[in-house]
Amino acid sequence: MSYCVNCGVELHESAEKCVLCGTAVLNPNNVGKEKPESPFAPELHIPESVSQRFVAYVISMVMLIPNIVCLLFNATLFKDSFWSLYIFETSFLVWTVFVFPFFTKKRKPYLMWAFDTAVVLSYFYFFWAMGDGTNNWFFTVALPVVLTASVQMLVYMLWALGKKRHVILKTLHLFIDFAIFSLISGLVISAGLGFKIAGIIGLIVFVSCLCIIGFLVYCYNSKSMRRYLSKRFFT
Amino acid sequence: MRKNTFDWFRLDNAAKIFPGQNTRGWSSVFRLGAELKQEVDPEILRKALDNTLKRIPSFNVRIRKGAFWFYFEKNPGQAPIMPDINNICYRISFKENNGFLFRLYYRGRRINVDVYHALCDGYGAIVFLGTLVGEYLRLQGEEVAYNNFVLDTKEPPRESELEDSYNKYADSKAKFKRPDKWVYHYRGTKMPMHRANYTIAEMPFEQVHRLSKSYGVTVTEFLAALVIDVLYRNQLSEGKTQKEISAQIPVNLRKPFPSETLRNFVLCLRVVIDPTLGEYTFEEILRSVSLQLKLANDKKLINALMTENLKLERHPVLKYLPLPVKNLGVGISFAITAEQTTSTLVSSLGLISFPDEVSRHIEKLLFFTGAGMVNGTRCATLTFKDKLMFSFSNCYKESDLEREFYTRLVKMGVHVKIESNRD
Repeated sequence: MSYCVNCGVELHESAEKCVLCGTAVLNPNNVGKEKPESPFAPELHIPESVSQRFVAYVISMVMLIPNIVCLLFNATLFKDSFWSLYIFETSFLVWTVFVFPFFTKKRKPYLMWAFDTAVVLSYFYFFWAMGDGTNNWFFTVALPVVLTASVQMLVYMLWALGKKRHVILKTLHLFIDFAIFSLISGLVISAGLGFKIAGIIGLIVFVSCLCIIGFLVYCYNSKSMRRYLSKRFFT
Repeated sequence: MRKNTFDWFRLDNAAKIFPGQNTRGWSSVFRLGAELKQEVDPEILRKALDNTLKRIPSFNVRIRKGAFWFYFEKNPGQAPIMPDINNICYRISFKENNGFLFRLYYRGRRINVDVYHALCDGYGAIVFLGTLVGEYLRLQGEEVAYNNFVLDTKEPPRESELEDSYNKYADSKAKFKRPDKWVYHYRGTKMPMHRANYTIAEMPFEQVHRLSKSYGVTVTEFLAALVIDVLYRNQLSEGKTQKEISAQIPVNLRKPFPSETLRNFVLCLRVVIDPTLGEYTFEEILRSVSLQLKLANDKKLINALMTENLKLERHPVLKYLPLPVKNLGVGISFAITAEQTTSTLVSSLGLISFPDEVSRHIEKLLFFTGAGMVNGTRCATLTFKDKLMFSFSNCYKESDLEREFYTRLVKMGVHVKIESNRD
């Protein structure tokens, strides 16, 4: 008979430590004796789960089919323009952002960030290059907007990844990023393309975000407010 | 009895819920085990299982999808028996195990069976295990007697053992409002998928019974109150917003209703302690749990709850919803309510009395509920001969609650012997 000196419970003869508190068990009467078999088998049976890679592969194949069909139609029946390339480029963008990450065994966020930025830029460049070239919108609008979003994402990743941050603080950071992005993109679009409405919308979103940021700052600093929200939302 | 009665049958009301609750890593599974006084012979166990499945056809099934509901169909395959594993009660897949919804394991002197809850409740499973052990002993040449826990495999199965008793007895006109408040959950570091920690304690029944009697409550009430008390004090120590602590206590409906079914016929009663009302002592929790259970364990209330549960099944339109839609609905409802509205489960099978000819070959019986998805504590208990077994199923790595529970019993003078699948 072996007992845990900490918990006071009797342990199975095979136990080397207390299963409740981890205290090592040494029964002087059992020294040199062969330990009996544990009542629980040591072997694990972990059922095979569906591979994420396999699912990503199936989705990729499914996405590829309409693209090939469009390409064939474009090459044989409707030859007036390269319209199938637009579909292909859009599919590639969707695939890169939503499907490609599941092909990697270990998530590499910085690599993904760089890759996504490059693909989004190339997407806009393709549309610009395929156009008539009269407007320089790629360099005046698309490039600054995409780079702003990309830099903001990088800053957020550097700040949030690998560190434990309060959920309110994380939300706050996202809203600050969104406020800055909406203001910059609104201004760039209105200046570059002449859509004044884009600047106004950007400003409205910016001011709305400021209100939410103010509320989040209050929540973060007020313990009683956090308790109230926790109670109301069962968090 | 019609010839094709056991070729296929509908799932009972409780069983209809379980397939919808299945996820990639979780299904409602529980384990019953018997430790014999001699090593288990797998060859004899195989024959005993084949004979037992003929006597209890509700286990000899696989589950199939119909247009509107799942249904059970006689399984033409052979049920496998396997050496035991460490991660007991892992999820059931309808495509594995030759389609059988139970898994039979052996290890040393133990026979263990993991049962998918859609097949039966704890009572049905203990009858299955008792009959299996009885048949195993008979095939070994032992003299065996039979009772309601150990069935004679030479007798044919009875139709009453396969009935859906919910449908038969639920006839209440009253409306029942289901409680939907979200409650406290003990949280910790989640175990990897398909794994959980199981700890079982063996205690002298007489000591626990005497202790319960000194407080003027039953053994189940005492143990449930102690689990709630441990959770209550744990929540206090966390220093967060105090939420209600609720425990589900399944009751065997074969007592209030004259049913012989070996399928599901159980309902969960709910007891609640609200810390916002003020500080509770253990005695106050004990008194509250005891009174709530006595109040809830009323035949008319249970009938109203049963009738409420049958609403979907009896609804003139909803019952014809396609199965995938129903499954989706059940899955969402389970995710939102179910474990969110309960802090723990304390399942008690009570006193199991096999005939002397069988029980003298058995050292002890074991009972585990499968670990929850959210609840760190799910408990199961039964009493066999002079031993009370009480197990914890925990989906988290930490063992604080188990430790607190068992050491409290030790301090109250109960001798506690522990076994666990923890490393």
